Amino acid sequence: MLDDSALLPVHLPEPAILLVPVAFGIAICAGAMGAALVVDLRRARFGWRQPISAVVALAFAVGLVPVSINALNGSWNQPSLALPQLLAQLPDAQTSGDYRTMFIGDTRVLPGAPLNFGWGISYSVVNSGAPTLEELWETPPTRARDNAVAALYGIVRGQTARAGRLLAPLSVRFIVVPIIDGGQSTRSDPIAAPRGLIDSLSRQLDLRRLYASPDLVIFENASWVPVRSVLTAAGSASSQLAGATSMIATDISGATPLPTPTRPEGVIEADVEPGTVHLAVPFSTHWKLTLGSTTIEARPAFGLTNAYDVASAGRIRLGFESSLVHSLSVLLQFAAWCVVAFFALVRPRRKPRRNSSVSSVIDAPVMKFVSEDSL
Amino acid sequence: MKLLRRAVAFLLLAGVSAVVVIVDRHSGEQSVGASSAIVEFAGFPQASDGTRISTSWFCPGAAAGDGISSAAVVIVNPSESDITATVNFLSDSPADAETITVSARSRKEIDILRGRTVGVVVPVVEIIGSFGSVEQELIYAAGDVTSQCVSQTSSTWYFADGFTAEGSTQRLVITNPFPESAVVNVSYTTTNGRRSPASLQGIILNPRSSRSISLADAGAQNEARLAVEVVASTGQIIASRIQHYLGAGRLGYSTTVGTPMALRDWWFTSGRTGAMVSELLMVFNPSDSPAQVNVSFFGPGITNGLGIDQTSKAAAPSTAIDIPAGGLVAINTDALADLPKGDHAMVVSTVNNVPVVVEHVLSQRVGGSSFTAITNGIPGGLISQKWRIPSGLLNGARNALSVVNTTGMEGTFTVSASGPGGDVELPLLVDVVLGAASVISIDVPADVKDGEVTITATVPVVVQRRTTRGHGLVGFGIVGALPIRSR
Repeated sequence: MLDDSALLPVHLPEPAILLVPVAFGIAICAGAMGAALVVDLRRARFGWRQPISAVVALAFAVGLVPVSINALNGSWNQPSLALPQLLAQLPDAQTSGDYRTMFIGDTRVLPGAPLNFGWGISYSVVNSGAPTLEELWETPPTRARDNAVAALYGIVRGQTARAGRLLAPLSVRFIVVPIIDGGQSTRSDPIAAPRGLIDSLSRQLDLRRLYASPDLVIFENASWVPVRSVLTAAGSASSQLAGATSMIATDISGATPLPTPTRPEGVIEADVEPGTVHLAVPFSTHWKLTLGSTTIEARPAFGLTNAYDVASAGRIRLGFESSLVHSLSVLLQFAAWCVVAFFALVRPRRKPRRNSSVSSVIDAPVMKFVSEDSL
Repeated sequence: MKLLRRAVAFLLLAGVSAVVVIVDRHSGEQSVGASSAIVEFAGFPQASDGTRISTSWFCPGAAAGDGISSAAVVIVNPSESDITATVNFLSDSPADAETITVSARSRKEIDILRGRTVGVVVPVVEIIGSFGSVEQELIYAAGDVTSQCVSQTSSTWYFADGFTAEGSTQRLVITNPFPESAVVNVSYTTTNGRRSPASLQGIILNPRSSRSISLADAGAQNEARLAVEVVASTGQIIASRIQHYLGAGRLGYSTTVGTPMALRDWWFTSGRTGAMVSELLMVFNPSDSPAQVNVSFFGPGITNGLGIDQTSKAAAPSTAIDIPAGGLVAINTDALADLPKGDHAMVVSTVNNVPVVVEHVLSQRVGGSSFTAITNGIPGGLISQKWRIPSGLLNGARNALSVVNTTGMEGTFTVSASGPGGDVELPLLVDVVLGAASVISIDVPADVKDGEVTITATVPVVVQRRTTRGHGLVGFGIVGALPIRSR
């Protein structure tokens, strides 16, 4: 909560990671309570613990009532109008190439994994129009993310009118300012967009306002290029430079889209003319492009992403190849899970010894409440 | 001990609960958001000394068919490293662009027309990084013109002055630098009132294009008083005026970007009265309420050398002048106050807080010829202690720079010029004393390099310059300097 409000000097890791120890602690508490109720209390003398236990059980039952009611019609009382429905108007990636969408606004209404930018503004970036389950996890910091943050500085602090061009190599086609998400922000009680944000976006020279309503505002970046594309001649020349100069000085729009795979890391094949194939992912040599039997080396484009200079026309194959370290890590993790499964399921359990420190009486309490005065 | 443990546990729990409540309330407050990106007066010519990723400069443009010898944007780099800039050429044809590098401590002129003989071309310059500034220069037989460029678009633009009398021509140039169409409505006001011709309503301006509109063709023929109002009902644009004066007391050529908003205070430093001089302040009130303005003068024989406790008839504000709602009034300074002949500065202020737009028109007959200089006012909100003149000053020019002290305190100012060796303070122009509410016109030393000039004062000042018209023509043009704003 403190991190979401930007009240900490550093950005904490993804909150969901911290939920693991939290879930572990809650599980132990729940287990201990259940054991105490089932085994211990029935042998204890009547006192305040029994009524409290009854109240706890009742509370659980009461808590189940709204859950049961919401489950009746199968909708779980979800709002009738939610952000994903509003985003359905964004085009299908298959029509003009795969793209990304950047959401900017109040962190309470942003989909995906919002990152706090400051001044009451957060942002998240998703593939296509709406986030998938995987995109609810925060991505690790990369130079590409730093570039997106620079573009945001340009918008939020008024440091450039060409933020669209800074976002173009990252394939950010749409910038969406959500106002009503149907959950925390409703039409009857909306969370307003951060002050000045829509005005500031309207002054960006590469953004056109595609849709504006009290629910959300959608801008389209006129300079965008698809995630997988063949750059124009100007874009190809610009991609050989790095930094703001390479991105702002040239309009790289007009790239030819390549086929869109079903998975982000999927393999594609396409016939291309000589030129520069651009892949809008953080620079990595694990993305391999082959032309026939020839492997074309990747080079950094715009100092951020992957580019492959294809000298002759032909059929290319572009896909991701894992490193040996990654494959070994997966194997190691698989082996570790097998060991855990063995000890949990297959290993024969030892019979309790008579002279154990644990009580030998089967129905003896596993936990014993004692009077505080006896401590 | 047990009590202590319980107390600690209770306090811990209470503390965490309090933090949660405070943080939750904090997140519900209206935050700063992106409001700092919206800068007041951003549509006026100015420069920023803050860190920037890039700066856009929108210039007024040049009309190829007007017989201009050449038209260029001047990109000045006063910094110690090279800068990259992209010049976009917007016209009724598809936009074109050129990327250039300007070496450290130098300037580069980029041709705008590029062989075109018809139509209007509007340059939009994108400078990457925090340094550099831009102006537009036209070389023309009727008088060279230096024009300022602005860094932000607007949905409203005003021109308090316009002139189509005796064959004079006036073009309105509207430019849409965005990737979506803009819808523009134009209306104008003459002595006969306000008109909104149907042909000037709902003009669809294509993305990344510019368009020229002849005011005479739109019905405003032979008008000596002509204020223009441009409103973009969709999108944001740049509006500029290209004016050729050919008679009725005016002679010369002028290009300028419009005024994006009406305000309550307008400063001018290069006024003049004299036997052969006609000085007008054109005041346009675009609002629905009547405005009242007065004019205060500064200068030799008016406020220069006048003590704080002394009074002067000439220094006192004029009587209030009524500007009707939507109306246009030309104030003749000769008729307004008993001013000593010569140069002066002035501020036009509204008395009843209704904002207006003011332009300064100075026509003078010299020998057998004459000239007209016209300039937009500088808003009171842009008064600064540091000013910049991107295209520099002409060596040896007389009365080239007018500086007015807007405060009641004495101050000093220093003029420096940028050259290959860096910033150099100009001889005799270091710590020049500037009395309270005084005006100084300074001559330019003969050995000034052809670089950017910076004026740094110890008190808030307003600076305008006089530019030469070239070709052996008499007179001068008047152009404001760029106030430097801290961000």
